[in-house]
Amino acid sequence: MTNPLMMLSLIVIIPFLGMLFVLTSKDDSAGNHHNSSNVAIFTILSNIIMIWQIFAFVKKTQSGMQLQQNINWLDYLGVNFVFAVDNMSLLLILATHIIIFGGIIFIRAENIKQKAMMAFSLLFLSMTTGLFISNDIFSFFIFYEGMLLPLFMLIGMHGDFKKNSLLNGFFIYNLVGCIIFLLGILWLYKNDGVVSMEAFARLNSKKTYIPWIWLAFTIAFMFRIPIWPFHYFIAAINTKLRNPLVFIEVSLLPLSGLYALYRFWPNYIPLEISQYFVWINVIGVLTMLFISLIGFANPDSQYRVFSYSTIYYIMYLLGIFSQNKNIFANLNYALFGFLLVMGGLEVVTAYIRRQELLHGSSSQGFLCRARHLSLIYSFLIFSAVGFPISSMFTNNFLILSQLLSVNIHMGAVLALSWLLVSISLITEMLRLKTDSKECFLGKSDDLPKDCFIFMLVIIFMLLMSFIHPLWFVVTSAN
Amino acid sequence: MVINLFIGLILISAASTLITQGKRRKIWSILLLIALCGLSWMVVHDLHLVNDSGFIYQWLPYPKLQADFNISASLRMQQMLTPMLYLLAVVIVFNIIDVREGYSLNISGLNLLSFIMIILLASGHDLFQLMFASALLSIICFYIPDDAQARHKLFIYNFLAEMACFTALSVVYSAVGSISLNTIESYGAKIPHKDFVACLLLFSFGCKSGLILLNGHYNALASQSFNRLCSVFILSLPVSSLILLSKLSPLISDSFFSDAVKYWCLLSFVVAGIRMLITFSLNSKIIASAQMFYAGAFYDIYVDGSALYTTMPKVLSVMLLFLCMVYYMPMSGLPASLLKINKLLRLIMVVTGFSVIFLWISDSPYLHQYWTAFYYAAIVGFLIRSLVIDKISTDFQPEEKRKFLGWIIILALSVIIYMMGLNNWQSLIKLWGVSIIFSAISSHLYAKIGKLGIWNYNFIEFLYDKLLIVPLKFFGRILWLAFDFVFIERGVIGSAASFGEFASTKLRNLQNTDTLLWLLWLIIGGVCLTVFAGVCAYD
Repeated sequence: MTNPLMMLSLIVIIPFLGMLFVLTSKDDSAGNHHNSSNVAIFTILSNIIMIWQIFAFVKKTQSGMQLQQNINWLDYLGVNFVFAVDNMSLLLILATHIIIFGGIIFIRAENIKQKAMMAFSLLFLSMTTGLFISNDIFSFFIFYEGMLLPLFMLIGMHGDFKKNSLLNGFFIYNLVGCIIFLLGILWLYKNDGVVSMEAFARLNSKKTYIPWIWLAFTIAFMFRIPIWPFHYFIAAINTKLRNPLVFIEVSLLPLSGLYALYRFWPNYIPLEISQYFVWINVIGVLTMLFISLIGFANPDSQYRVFSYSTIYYIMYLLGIFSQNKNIFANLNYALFGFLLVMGGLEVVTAYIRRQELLHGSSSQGFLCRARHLSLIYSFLIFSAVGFPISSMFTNNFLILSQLLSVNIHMGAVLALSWLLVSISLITEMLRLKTDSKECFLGKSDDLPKDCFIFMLVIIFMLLMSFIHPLWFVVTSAN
Repeated sequence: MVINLFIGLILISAASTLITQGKRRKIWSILLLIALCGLSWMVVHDLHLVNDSGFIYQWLPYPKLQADFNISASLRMQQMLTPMLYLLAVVIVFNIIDVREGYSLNISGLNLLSFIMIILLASGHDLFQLMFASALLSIICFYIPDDAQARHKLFIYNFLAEMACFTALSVVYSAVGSISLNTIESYGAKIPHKDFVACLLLFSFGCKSGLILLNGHYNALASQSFNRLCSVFILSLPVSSLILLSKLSPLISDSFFSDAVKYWCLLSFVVAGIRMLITFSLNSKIIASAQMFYAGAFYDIYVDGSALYTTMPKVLSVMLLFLCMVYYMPMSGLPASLLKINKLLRLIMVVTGFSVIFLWISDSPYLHQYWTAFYYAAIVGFLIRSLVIDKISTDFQPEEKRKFLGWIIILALSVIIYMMGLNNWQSLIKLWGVSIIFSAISSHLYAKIGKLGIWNYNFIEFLYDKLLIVPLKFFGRILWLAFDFVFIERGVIGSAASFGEFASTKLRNLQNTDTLLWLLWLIIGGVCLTVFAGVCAYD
């Protein structure tokens, strides 16, 4: 079906335009710091409505990319921008918008200058959206690396790093991945002239250079995923971030790596190559075990959320490498639920931490006094650990069963890691629900109304996703 | 009718959650009870109207994962649920009459929700419905205890049980390719990793039932009030384990652990029975008694799954009767002047007891008769001991007027149980005989072994400390030092940083203003250009 009204370009342009509006907004003093966040909120809401409309045009039963849109760029080289979407990319775009929206809602209440943060967040959102709708290799590369620019600025401004060496190392680390990716693309273009991702998937693996290109792409994408030995900088950066909006955006980096692997996955992988996947599985489960053990022992709630997201990202990575069609078919719904839960957890965790700092009080027992926060936090934790109140339950069941069928030992270690990280989250919840005399927080410190309403919407979406995954899609009359 | 019951219970529990806890909570609780009684009367009145079609809602229609939301309306389901409705009403009455209960409406609402989940569990025809109802029951029970430590333990244990069940059923689904219980039953023996699945399922069911080694969370509930203990033990987690066992027993039979289950149940029964006899804490007695019952019921249902619909509701009623008697009976001491008579009485008891045992062994009882016999023996033995022989210290005591209400409940329960068919006088004689022995030895048991720490031993916490925390500290340090610090930070990053520093220093040195170096670079550049030109010309 043709792309009505160039909608795909619009959902990339709208956040970019919003960024320009934010830059021109009056936000020069502490009293006016809501202007930029209001513009950002309006921009994201408009884009969510647009995304919802696009869902109506995408046929659920049809596989492959739809609503293709071509933008001429370098005709003489045969390189043009091709945008297209399917259910997976749309769900990821929607989830990204929702969790960044949630981060902005939280940050809005803080008495700090937010102009730069909102501008870079919108730019990041625009780049991420472009990544998910790219259907040719060059535009994919541009958006894949373009999302790093606003991210580095945000980390640098709000990362609370005492040493710049960590940030420099993170930059160089991603640059190396970028170079490997670019070399792979150029090599591929020189030898095959391939620019379309579907054409890449159909490439004949018997050509000697194709496996090397696959390897280059895989390594470049794995740079973004916190699997050993690529986990170092991502872990170091994430654990030092205290700004929830920036944490959420940095947590989307592994998602871009996963998505890239999923999109660039070849239709056929010869046995000579797939036999090495067992090493990925081994390293993956060991990384999961390692991270889950540290998260279990670490009392910092932020680290627990990070270890939770890491475990799940690696689980989805292993799911992709299992080459199982059921997992591929289910991955979008799994990631959608996971992103909402992770974003919601980070926002409420950051809120509790902020209240602790503001009042100089322990947070133990806070949930006994804050009813709204208790409801939201409990639901998110129950959902995160896999209780059947959101689509995480169904998706986890499918993915775990497939991974167990591949290798029972790997699946058992995965389940153990999952158990450890779940218990660490539950322990934190139980700590917050155990009343303490050292907690001076009261009912007045409960979630503000706007945050509470937003989190209720998240809960509603998670509940409905459990009952029917695409409940919000209204099919187009055409 | 089950569908009507299900919908009615949802509406009543929703109403109870919407009404705020205030001074009129008792009145609202009574109204809730009246609504429940009306619903129960409707169910009992229309018991003959059996509609086997039930209610089915197609939830997930995917070919590889067809999950339906099913509520069965079969006759045996209704026969199982009807007595349980009475028990639900009794438990709600306890919430109302307990003066210490400040959240009677909330707890009653949770009781209703628990019962709804029991219906879903019993109606389940696929794994998803079973896991869904079991997990929600764990969440509901999280809110029943009002002690933080008890709540934590209860939730963590149940979460471990849920995870074990989830993992086991994931293996089953990966092998069978279907979540339907009918398919699993036919493929039960052919599932790969059968022992692994059986081990996980037994861990899950054992945790929920409170079998020995896995009952630390239930023992921690000793600080709870009577009504909250009944809420947990009568129509909640342990019952869910029995239902799950009944439906998933094909996955456990023919495995390595199939015979061990019987011994596990027997050991749990005996240990819980001894704990019930020797402990002086009233709440611990209640908990131990419930554990005894569930150990026996676990075995009964493991041997014959249909006992879930026939035996279990009756014995649940007997258990509740016993708990009421333990809680409401008056406590008395023995005057010193009766000591001599007591010794004579004990002698007569021992002689009578041995005679009864001889008569009993001459029959051919099956184990389910043994456990019910021992169970009743323990009840009566405890009563005799408490009323006649020893003074018992208690944690909580109901007020005198509440005791009167309690005895009315005991009478009502007795009538219900008699009507269910437990009126076999021969068994009663056997029970009395063995109970006399129990009463005689119970105080001696406490003196000899009652103070041993083993009765309060927590196996899960032992595993947690020795198998998780200790290796975590050891291997975590090694993994971090060996891999992250040595290999990545010092090895890769350190080497790259050192090389970069070396290269930049050398390049900087080579680019200084020395004339000789300038000439050298000029010559190198000239040579490179010449070679490049030559290559291009050759091509």
